[in-house]
Amino acid sequence: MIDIYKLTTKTNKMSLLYVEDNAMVREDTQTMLDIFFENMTVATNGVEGLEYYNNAKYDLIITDIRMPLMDGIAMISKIREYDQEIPIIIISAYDENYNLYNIKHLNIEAYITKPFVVDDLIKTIYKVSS
Amino acid sequence: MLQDIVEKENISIDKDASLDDAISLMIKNGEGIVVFLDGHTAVGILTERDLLYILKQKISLSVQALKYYKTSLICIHLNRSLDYALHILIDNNIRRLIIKDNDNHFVGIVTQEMILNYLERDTYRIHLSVSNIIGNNQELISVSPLESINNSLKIMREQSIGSVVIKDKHKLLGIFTERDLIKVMNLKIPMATPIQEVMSSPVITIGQDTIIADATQLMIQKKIRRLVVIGEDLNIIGIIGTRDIMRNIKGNYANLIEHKLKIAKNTLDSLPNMIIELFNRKSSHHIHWLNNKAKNTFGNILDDDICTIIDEKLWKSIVSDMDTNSYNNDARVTIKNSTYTLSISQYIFKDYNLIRVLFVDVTEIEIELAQAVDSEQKMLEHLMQQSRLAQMGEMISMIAHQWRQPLAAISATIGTLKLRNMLDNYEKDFFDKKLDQITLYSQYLSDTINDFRDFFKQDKLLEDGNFEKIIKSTTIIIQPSLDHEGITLTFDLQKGIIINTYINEFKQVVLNILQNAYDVLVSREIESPEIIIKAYKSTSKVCLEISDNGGGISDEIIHNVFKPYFSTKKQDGTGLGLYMSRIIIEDHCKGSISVTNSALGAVFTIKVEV
Ligand SMILES: Nc1ncnc2c1ncn2[C@@H]1O[C@H](COP(=O)(O)OP(=O)(O)O)[C@@H](O)[C@H]1O
Ligand SMILES: [Mg+2]
Repeated sequence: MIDIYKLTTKTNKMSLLYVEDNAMVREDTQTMLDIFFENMTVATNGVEGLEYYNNAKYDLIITDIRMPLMDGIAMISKIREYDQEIPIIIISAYDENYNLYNIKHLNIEAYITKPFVVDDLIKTIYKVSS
Repeated sequence: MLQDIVEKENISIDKDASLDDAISLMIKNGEGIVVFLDGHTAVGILTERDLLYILKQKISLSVQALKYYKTSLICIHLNRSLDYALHILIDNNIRRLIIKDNDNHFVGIVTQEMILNYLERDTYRIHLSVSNIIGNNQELISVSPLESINNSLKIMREQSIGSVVIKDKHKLLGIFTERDLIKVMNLKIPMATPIQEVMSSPVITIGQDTIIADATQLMIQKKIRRLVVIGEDLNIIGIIGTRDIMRNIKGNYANLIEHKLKIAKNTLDSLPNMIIELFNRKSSHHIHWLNNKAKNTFGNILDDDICTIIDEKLWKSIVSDMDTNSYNNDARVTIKNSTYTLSISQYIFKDYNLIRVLFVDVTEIEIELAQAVDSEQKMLEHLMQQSRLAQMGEMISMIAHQWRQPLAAISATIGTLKLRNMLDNYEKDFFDKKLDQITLYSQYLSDTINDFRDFFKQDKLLEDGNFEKIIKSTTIIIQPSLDHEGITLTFDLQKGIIINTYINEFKQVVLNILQNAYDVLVSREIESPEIIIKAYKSTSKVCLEISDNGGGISDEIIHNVFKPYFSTKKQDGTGLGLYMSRIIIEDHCKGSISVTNSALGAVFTIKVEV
């Protein structure tokens, strides 16, 4: 049983880059993620996400895949060019499921499908934070 | 009818003409008769036979014929039947009839030969041969070759015969007939000349076993009226003339027709089709004859009105079509589970107007036809079904797109509440707000489900609808899919157009076209993909144009896209979308649908009446 108090205390010391294009989803997910990450930067597409990444230091990236301008996979690929360490979580719709095999080299921490069950998210965040 | 066979040329001459002229004309016409006219009216006739008697009086041929011709004429009307003429000829023992018209004007003559010529083979008692009809009626009159013309004529007059044969002992040398006499008179050959110099030779003979029809044929062919009949040992048995044949025509012409009719009826009786006959009279249409097959089918309906078996209205329209010659033998009747077309022929003789109705059984054909139509209908229904299934499949992926975001939002909101719960952070207002939000999202989900369900409602109703609304309620379904692919949807819709159509079906067509545009924009990975929907009203039509920038349809296949099962999408396509769209627009909505290519892509145009 994960102690949620302990977990949030820990995660609140981390900085998060959250990338999602859909406003409705973004707002509601942001409200939830706020509980874990007081220090959160939000981007609405891959290009923006990459820009934020290049200008600051983050402990975790959570991103959608399908987005205009630059999709999640392209953004992650760019980031992985210099950064093999930063944990990356994908939250994406089931039918956007990339063949996970193809993105194995991107070293994705977890792949969560929308709509998600919060317990999965808690477990993943717990894993990342420890 | 007589008017069909009457001879008009070189028959008549003025009443004051000389005997000489009359004889010349007789030679010219070859009929052995001249008719004298007073104006248009026949006033007398002169025949070859008369010449026999005229010669006896030793008169000059240059005198007017007036004194010598017969003035009691047997004239009959042009419209009489052959049968009637035959009667008159036989009853009066004459060879020719004078024919006149309605104004009693002379028209021409009809001779025995002409009638014989007209009769068909089976008119003659086919089993009768020549020997049967010459019998021993007359002893054959013969003269010696050196006998004078004068004496020969005397014998003919005394015996009241039209010809004599010339024999030397037992040898047949020739024949002298009234016709030869005309020649003699015309050439003014002295009457003392031996008969052998003017006789016709050789004599045309026939065997006694020759059947009458053949004998008649020979006479007609040789243009003679008499044949000498010879026996097996070549001895002369007698002379047979047209008159003899006339008397032996089966009964009379009417009997003959009746007989022929009987043969025809026998044939009709053995046919597998039903045939009925009736007289066409203004007031009644009673059946006067029916063949065996008709009897078996209808029972005894002889003398019943035709309308006991054919609907009165239908019969009336058939009759009026027949009157205007516009009946096409296509009327249909159903009798005892069988369908027939009525093939009708009409026979009109004078006041005799016969209608013959032939029932052609088309039941089998009808059934086959019905089956063909039925299976075509089933095929179409099957295609409809297939296309609906395909469209539903497409719709399911649209629903997935439609629901993805709200479901993600709901799961995020629930996640938030759960986390707050775990942290014992119950802020009442926050919880209320989030729960309301979830309710709102589920409302939205429910609405979209309704949209989809409406879309597949089977109700085929002609409804009034605002055109803009129809389009918007269709695009709302595909909008999230388009958004998802970054496809821009642009509207250019004229406001306030109301159309009356099968709205649900119409929406399906629009969705089909949008789906196809979506497919092409995605599969060809078009940059800045866009779909434009334009609608405007022109006169009484609404014009809807849906265009995309997907690159269009190649010229080789553009004429195929509305055909069933035509698809370029391999297993992803059914090829039924546009086919069904065409059926819906053309057959149901009575409009038109077409496709062209613009510089950027395909342009589908639909036109329907408002
Ligand atoms: N907007 C379009 N642009 C290019 N091609 C099109 C377009 N719409 C239809 N087509 C062509 O017409 C074919 C038939 O379409 P359709 O009848 O809807 O069947 P399906 O979509 O199952 O293939 C498609 O396979 C495609 O080749
Ligand atoms: Mg299609």
